[in-house]
Amino acid sequence: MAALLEIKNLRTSFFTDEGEAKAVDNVSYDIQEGEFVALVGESGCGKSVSALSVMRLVPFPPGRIIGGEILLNGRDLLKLSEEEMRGVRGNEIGMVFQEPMTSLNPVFTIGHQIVETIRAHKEMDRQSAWRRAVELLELVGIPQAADRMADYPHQFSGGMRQRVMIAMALSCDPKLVIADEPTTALDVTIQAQVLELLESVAEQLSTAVLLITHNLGVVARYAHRVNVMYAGKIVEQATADDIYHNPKHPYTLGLLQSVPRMDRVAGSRLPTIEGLPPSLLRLPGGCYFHPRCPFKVERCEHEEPPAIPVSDNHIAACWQWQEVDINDSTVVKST
Amino acid sequence: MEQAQVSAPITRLPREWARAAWKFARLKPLGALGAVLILIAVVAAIFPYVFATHDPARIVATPFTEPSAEHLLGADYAGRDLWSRMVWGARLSIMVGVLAVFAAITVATFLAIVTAYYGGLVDLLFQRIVDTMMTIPGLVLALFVLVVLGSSLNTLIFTIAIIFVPPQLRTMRSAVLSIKEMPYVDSARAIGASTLRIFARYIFPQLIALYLILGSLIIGTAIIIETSLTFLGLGLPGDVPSWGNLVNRGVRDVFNAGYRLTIPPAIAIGAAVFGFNLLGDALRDVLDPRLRGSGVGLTGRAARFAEQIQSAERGRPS
Repeated sequence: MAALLEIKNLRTSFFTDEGEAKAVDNVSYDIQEGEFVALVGESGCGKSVSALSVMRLVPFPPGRIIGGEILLNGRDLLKLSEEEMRGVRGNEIGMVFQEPMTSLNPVFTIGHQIVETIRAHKEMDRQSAWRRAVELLELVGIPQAADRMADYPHQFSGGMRQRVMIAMALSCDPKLVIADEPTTALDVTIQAQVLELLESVAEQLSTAVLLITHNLGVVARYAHRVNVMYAGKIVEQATADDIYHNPKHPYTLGLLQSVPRMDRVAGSRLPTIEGLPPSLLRLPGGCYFHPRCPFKVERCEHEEPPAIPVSDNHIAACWQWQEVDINDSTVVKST
Repeated sequence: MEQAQVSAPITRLPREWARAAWKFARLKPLGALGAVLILIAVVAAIFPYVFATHDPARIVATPFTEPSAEHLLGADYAGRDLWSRMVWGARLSIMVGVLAVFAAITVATFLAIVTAYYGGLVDLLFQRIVDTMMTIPGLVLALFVLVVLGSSLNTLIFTIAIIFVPPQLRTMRSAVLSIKEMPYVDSARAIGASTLRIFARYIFPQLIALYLILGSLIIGTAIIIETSLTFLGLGLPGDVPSWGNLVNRGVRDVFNAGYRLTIPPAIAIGAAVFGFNLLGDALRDVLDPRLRGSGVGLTGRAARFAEQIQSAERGRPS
C-alpha cells in the first residue's frame, strides 16, 4: 500500500550569520493512512522544523527547504505553487500548534473562526458550515457547543482552546493532522484528556496523526510507530513496541532510561544523558551522538553510521547497535 | 437557533455602548470633557445651518458692527456675521483635520502591514524612503506641495496627509512587527489563509486601537497645521470662512475692531485641538496602557512642524 505521506531525504537548513544550521538533515519517514506516528526528540533536534517543512511554513528567511521530496498521496508538495499549497494547508493537512493560548485569533469568536476555515476550503453555505462547526465542537467534547460558538478565545481555558484547535484542524476532513507538541502548555491532567481525544477523533474520522513530542510516556500510550530524531537526523525508526522493549540506538535507550519512574528510590537524582545536544552549527564528526555515547568505538568518531535495518520495520543509525540491550546496558548517569 | 445567537449581541449593543461610555467618563473625566468639546465642534460641522444665524458669505450688517442679539459676535470688515462664519468654519477645519488624518493613517497602516509583513528588501526600501521624507522639514514640504498643486481644499488635505504618513507608518510598522510573530498568525497560515486574508482578519483588527489613538491624537495637530497654513496664506483662499482665515483677517483688522474678531475663532481652534488631545490621551490610556509615556502623537516630523509653524507665526509682521 502506498503511504499517505512519504518524506524522502528531506533537508531543511537555516542560513544564519554563523553558517548553515542543518535543522533537518536527510530525513525520511512515512505515514500510512489512519496511522498514529510519533516524532520524538529533545528541543532543537529539528522535529518541529520537519513538520513545518511538510506544511511549507518554514520561516524564510533564514530557513529554506533545500532538498528532498514530500509526497502526499504521491504528489510532491515541494513542487506545488504557493496557491496550490494553500489548498493543502488546513484542507488536506490540519495542524495543531503547541500554544493553544495564543494560536486562536483573539478578535473573532471561535464559531466564526471555524466557519471561516471550513468556507475557505469547502463549497458550503454559512448555515451548513455553522452546523458542521457545532458538530465538530461536540465531537471534541466542548459542552454546550452551540452556545459556545459565540464565545471568544479568552473565554476558554487552555485545554478547551486546544480542543477548539483540534476541531479546527479537523474541520475540513484532512487526511493527516500534524500535532506539534499539542500538550506542552497544558496541565498534566488535561494533557491526557487532549491526547485521548486526538486519538479517538482521529480513529473515528480515520485521520492519520503525526504527533511531535518529547514525552516518551505519551508516545508509548498512543503511537503505532515512532521516529526518534537527534541533531536533525532520524536515529531510530521502529514500532512503539520495539522502541520500548528493544531499542537499538544508544540515544533512544538513554531517553527511555531517563524517564522518571515511580519505582525509583525517593530522593535519588533523576538519571540523565550526560552532556548536551550539539549545536547544529558545530556538529561533531562521524556519528553526531558519539560525544555522549558510552558505546562509542573509534569508528564512531569518523564515520557517520547509515540507517541500518535491524529487523523488519526497525532501523537504527548506529555502528554499535548490536551492543545496545535494554536489559543490561545503560547510557544515563545517575547518582 | 443560529439567528438568535447572531441577533442577540446586536440588540445588546446600544446599552453596552452607553455603559461603556459612562464607564469611560467616570474613569477619564478629562477625556470625557474632550469628547464633549469634539462633539460640539462635530455637531456644528455637520449641521452649521442649524446654529448659524446668517448666511456666512452674505453681507448682513455694516462693517465692524458691535456684538448684539442680532449679531452674536458682531460683523467683520465686510459686514458678514462672525458667529455664522465661525460655525461654518468648524465644518472646514474639522473636515480637513479628519479627512487628512484618516487618509494619512489609513495609508500608513496599509503600507506598514505590507512592509512589516514581507520584511526584507521591501521593508528596507520603504523605510529608507520614509527616512528621506522625514529629513525634509514639514513646512518646506507643505510649501512645495501647495505651490506645485495650487492651494485648494483638496490639496490642503493631501498636503497635511503627506506630512503625517511617515511618522505614523513608523509607529504602525513597529506594531505589525510584533503582531506578525504571534502564533495565531502562523496558525492562520497553517489553515491555508491567503496573505490578504491574514492582513485583513488577523493583523488589521489588532491595529484598530492604535489606529483610533493615533487618529485622535494627531487630528488636533492636523487642525493646527491647517489653520496655520491658512493663516500664512498658503491654505484655503482668503474669503473662505475657515478658522485660520478668520484669525488671519481679524489680526489685520485689529486697529478697527480690537481683538473682538480674532479671539473667538482662536478660542474655537484651541478648544477643538484641546478636545482632541484630551480624548486622544484618555483613549490611549484606556485602550492601550503600554503606550503611556511613549510620546505617541506629536512625534518626529509633526512635532517639528508644529514648532516651525509657531516660530513662523512669531516672526510674521502683523
